[in-house]
Amino acid sequence: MKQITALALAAFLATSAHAGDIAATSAWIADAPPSAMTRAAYLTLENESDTPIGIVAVSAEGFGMAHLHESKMKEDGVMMMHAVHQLELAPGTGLQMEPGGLHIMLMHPEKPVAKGESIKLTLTLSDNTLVEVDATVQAGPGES
Amino acid sequence: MIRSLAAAFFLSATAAMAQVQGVELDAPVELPAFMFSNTDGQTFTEASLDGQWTIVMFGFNSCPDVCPFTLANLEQAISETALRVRPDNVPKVVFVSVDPARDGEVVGEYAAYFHPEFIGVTGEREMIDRLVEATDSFYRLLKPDHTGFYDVQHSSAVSVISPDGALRAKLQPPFDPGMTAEFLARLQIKYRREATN
Repeated sequence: MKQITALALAAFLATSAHAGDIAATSAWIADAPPSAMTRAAYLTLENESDTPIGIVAVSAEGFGMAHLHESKMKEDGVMMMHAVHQLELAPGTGLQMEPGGLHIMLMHPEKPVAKGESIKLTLTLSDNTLVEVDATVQAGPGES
Repeated sequence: MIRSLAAAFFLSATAAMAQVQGVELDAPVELPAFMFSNTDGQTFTEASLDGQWTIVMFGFNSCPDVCPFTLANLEQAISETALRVRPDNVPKVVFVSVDPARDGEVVGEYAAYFHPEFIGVTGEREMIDRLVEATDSFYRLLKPDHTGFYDVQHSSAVSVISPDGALRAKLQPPFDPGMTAEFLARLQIKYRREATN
């Protein structure tokens, strides 16, 4: 009986992961000196499901903390950064993070990070499913 | 017909300017005396401005998004400028950290990571404030969070300083390499023309 419940639960989790289908692609981390204490990661998200999905938390392997952040330029040219607590994607919509806008701020690295390294990012969705994507440390979106 | 052509030209010129986002000052601004340094023994003072073009950027090393982006773009813009101007007219890029408490030891290494000739310096609060004010820039250290980490707000525009030590223009990111190079080359031509008149 226990086994059946576990199986049913596994099946349920698998379906809900599919129902909450977020595609995370083109992930990269902006190159900075290896000793940099903070970094920014960028990726492209698509909500391929027919329900709205929120991204409620982010984490990065080897970093003590990760947050969704947005840089915004005020009219006087001053850059402000603020935390984004939840990001919601309507069905069939997507977004592309890029420098000077929405990004994942990575803080408290456990060790120096080198260009070319790959770091696993994990997004927690509003339905509690996890999405993992590997981000490479590189100079720009399409560059190495 | 002529009028509509003129209007079309004006529109395209405005669009190009919007992308460069370079603003030439109506009148050059003389800069006050200042003194910055780093642990590699490099210094940056008003005397460093003599006889060369300088681009000054304010920032801080814990800046995850805008600073690496600006420095990487500046690196490309300067490479592009180097193709258009004489070697001694290629601007020297100086990154001034407004966060000496955290960046004092690493600021030189930080800037040089983006280009070996980029100089990273910092200094006393009074010096930082003086140069920030003189270049019509802005920064503010925010309150630390529970981990002690604090964020810094700062202007993203960089200052273009001519070889006579005067602030001539401000550039706003993103620095499109070609358009920034074009803007800087024109600014230099105008400067030389004024100097000979």
